[in-house]
Formats: sequence, structure tokens, C-alpha cells
Amino acid sequence: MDLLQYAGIILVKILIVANIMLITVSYLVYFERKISAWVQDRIGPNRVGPLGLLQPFADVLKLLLKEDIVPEKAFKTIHTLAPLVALFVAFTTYAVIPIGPPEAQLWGVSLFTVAPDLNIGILYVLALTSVGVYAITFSGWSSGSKYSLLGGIRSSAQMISYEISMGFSIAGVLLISQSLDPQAIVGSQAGLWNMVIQPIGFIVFVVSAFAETNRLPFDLPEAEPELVGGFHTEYSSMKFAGFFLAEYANMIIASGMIVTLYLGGWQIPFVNEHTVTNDILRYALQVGSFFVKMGALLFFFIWVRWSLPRFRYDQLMDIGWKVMFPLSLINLIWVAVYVMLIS
Amino acid sequence: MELIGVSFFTLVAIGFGIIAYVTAKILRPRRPGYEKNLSYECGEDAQGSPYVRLSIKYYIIALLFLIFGVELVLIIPWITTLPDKNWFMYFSGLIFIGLLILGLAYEWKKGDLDWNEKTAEPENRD
Repeated sequence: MDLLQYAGIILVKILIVANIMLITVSYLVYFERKISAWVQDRIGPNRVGPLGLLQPFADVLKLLLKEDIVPEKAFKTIHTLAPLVALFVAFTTYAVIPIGPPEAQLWGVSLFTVAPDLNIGILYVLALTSVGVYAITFSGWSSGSKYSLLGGIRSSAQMISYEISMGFSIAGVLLISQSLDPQAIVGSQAGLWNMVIQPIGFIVFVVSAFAETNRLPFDLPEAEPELVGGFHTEYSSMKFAGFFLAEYANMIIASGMIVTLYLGGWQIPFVNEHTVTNDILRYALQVGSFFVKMGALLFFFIWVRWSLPRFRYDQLMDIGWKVMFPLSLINLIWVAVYVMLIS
Repeated sequence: MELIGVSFFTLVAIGFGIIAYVTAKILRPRRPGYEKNLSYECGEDAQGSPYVRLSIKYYIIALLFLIFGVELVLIIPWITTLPDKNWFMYFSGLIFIGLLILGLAYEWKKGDLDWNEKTAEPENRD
């Protein structure tokens, strides 16, 4: 197949994925509001469209039409760049998450991953997560406001602290799969899911994912009562929407990564080409299972947000460095022993 | 070949952001005013420079991140050598992780991981 045709198919696939992603992100906001209303015994959005289902579109339209206020003391270029960086990071990470089996192909192009041949997928994710810190540091520093600066600096310290534990728990997964390709990681969990082999790593990763996405109980960068809006205090209109979308997109990525690394990805126990012989049915089941797992995790993210209080900053740092980091090292050693001696 | 997907995705992501910015720029009103453009500080005029002094702890955390981040980068190639069942490589990796734990213990004992300064014990003067 020539390069041009391949590029064309890939481009169409990316446009489809990007659109699906935008819609999921907007509806995630809707579900967050609905679930929070349910937790707090309220009704939630119910005015725009049936059951309030058109609310996300109304929100986007409103943010588009709002005036954009940039404070006088801000560094305009970096101030404008920061939400773009946040969005860019949140979007590009989707490329490597496998939502279905690699055999499913249409005209020689894998159906269920955007970049199926990227054999360094996990490094790509780690690198992009690190770039995500820049978005928040940029916005905090360039706004020319004390709240933004404090929020930004707190956030970057938090994110780099938890990135370490996250990296080491991912190293445990890589020990099992012995490959950096996300599809290979899913493949290595055909027998036992990583959650069973390394429960400590799973817990460390989930906690770090909460911290990396700045969700409660780790939402210190925003900490509404004490820092107003944290790093995005001085943002309005579409720039604020950038951060907002990025936060929810990051939640989806974090759940996707948890499913891929620890919950067997698209695999269902006892469903393989021998038990379910119909290819299309099997693919549908497997892709469905990926989305069910991801949905459950997203619900968990929202549930935690509306149930737990926020940590104090010193508690947050203590948990990061004195609990999660040693636990991730213990997990790494355990997996190293497991790989060599037991399997 | 394998980079086509990722690079296109990158372009689409950047393009999306720019399109959203431009659309908003065309649609939204623009009526700046003196007070509107002040940075927010509880409704009062902002006092002093926004660049307040920060705790030195943040820099120590950044240094710790650098150290352990580099060590993480060194561990990943070790993982890819494991399929060879090379016991020498295996144990050198484990020793490396042991050194890492030693380093962490040292930082811990030095108190770099404590966010709150330990308040000095009142001296016992009899």
C-alpha cells in the first residue's frame, strides 16, 4: 500500500476519533454534574433539551461568546499558549490507547488504535504527562496574579512528585509485558490481569492518576476556598474552556491507561478466538468490555470527588513521597522476583 | 510509517486548539476597561508584585524529581533486557533499585521529605 493512501486512511480515523473524544468529554462534564446532583440529592441540569442532554452544547456556546479578559500584568504570549499546551497534551495521548484487539483490521489498517505501530507507546504517554506540567506552570507564572502563581507552583510540585510513583508503578507493568507497546501490555494480561499480580502497583497508579489529573482529593492546584481558582484564576472564555476540557480529557486518558495497564485492556476472561468463533461478535464484546471498564472507572473518579474532602498540602506531599513512592519500589521488587522465580 | 499516526494526531490536536481560539476571537465581544484588566485580588486593587517569594522546599522537590526521574529512565532499558534470562543483568538491576531505596532513606532521614519544618524542641535548661 502506498504511503499516501495509508496517510489518508489514518487521517480519516483520527478525525473520527477526535470527534468522538470531544463528544465524550462534553458528556463527561454532563455526567459529572448529574452524578454530583444525585450524590447531593439535587436534580442537576435539566433545562436544555430532554433531561438536560443538550447542556454541554449550551456550555460550549456560552464560553465561545464570553469576553476574554487578559490581566494587564500578564505575559500575553505565554498566557495564551498555556491552555493550548494543556489541550494538546490531553488530546495526543489518546493516540496510543488500544481499545480493541490488534487483529481487527480494515484495508490493512488497525481499527482500534490510532497509532498501532508505535512500539514506545508507554514512553510516549510518560513524556506527554510531563509536558502537561508545563501548561499549569505557564498559566500560573504568566497570569501575573498571586493566586495563579501559588496555584501553579503547588501544582507543578504535586505533579512531579506523583509522576515518580506513577513511573515506577508502570515499570512494574513493563516487567510483566517486557515491552513498551500498549498492545503487548494488554496481550501479556491474557491469563492474569496485572491488578491481581501487583495489587500494590495498581493502588499506587490509581492514586497517582488522581493526583496527576488534579482531581479531588488532590485538587490542591485549584483549592477553591483558599486560592480562588488556582492556576486558572485569570482565565476566561475559550482559554478557560481549554483547561476545563483538558481536565476531563485527562480523566478519560487516566481511566484508559488504568484499564490498559492493570485491568486487562479489552480482554474478557475466557473470551478468545476458541470460545467465540464469530470475529465481529468477539470484537464487539471486547471493545464493549473496554468501554464498560473505562466507564466504571470514570464513575469512580466522579464518586470520589463528591465523597472525600481535600488533603492538606503537607499531607499530600507526605503521601506522595513517604507512602506512594516506597510502595511503588516495593511493588517493583516484588514483580521482579515474580517474573524470574514464579512465572 | 509508525510515526504517521502520531504526527497527524499532533497536528489535529494543535489545529483544534487554534480553530477554537479563532472562532472565539471572531464571536466574542471586546470591551476592556481599567478595572476589568486588573489581576484578581479579592476585589481590591492588587498590592505589590505578583511574584511573591516561594518556599525553598519547592526547589528541593524539583531536585528530588530530577534524581529519581533519571533513575526511572535507567530502569526502563533494564526491563527490556530481562527476556534474555541473564542473571548478571537481573541482579545488577536489583542492586540498582536497592541503591535507589538507600537514596530515598537518606533523603528521608535528612528531612527533605518533610514538608513542615520541624519545630525545634525547647531546650531543657535545668
